[in-house]
Amino acid sequence: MKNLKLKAARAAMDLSQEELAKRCNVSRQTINAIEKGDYNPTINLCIAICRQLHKTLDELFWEEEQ
Amino acid sequence: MSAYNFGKMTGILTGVVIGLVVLAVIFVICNKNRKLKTEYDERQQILRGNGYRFGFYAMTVWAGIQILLAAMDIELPLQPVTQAFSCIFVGVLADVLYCIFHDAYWGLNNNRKRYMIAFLIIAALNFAIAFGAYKSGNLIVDGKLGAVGTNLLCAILFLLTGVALIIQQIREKSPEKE
Repeated sequence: MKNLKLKAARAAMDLSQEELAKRCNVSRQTINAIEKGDYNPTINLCIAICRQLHKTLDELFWEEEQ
Repeated sequence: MSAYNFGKMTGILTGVVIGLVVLAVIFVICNKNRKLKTEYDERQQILRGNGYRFGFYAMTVWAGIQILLAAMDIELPLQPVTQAFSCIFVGVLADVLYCIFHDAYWGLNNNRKRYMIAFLIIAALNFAIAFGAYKSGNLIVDGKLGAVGTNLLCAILFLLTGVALIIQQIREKSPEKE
């Protein structure tokens, strides 16, 4: 499932995938894969991304049940 | 052990040690943070694990084919050294291609340009050695690809790696399509 919340939060901070990737010490392709829902990051990476985007885990990664 | 064999073995071992040192120097020069070790993120590490798995499978299949051919008395046009090296060639190629096309080849601290230049130089040097052997008639020995064939395979490996990297770079041109 695509992570549109992450993409929106990144865009709101005017960050490119490349910039966010550098800040989280991962490759740009990894950020892209997370946003596309192709990769489920570990909790450590989720926390690193949340810290960079000033969001909580819930705000970026929690999915409400349909 | 005869003096000739001792000399030959010493020469080979010296060559291996020099090769490893040169490889270490290339890694240090080509990594942005001047570290020997290439760093990968968590997704890349998982995919690289898959790459090693595919490399192992490819190597095993190729070794199995060689065993079958040997059992059927069918000889490959490769001398023993080159035939053994062909297993490494197949395994490494499978691993490298998998990693390249799954965005897990380049590490976080790799300077891509420097690595590409290094690959080009290594491929050119190996081609030059193979071409020199071809000119002097040592590339094909008794109708089979001789030991210098390992240089030819090595050059082909680096060339294919370079081509795959260029193809992947073109595929990546529009990074944020979504």
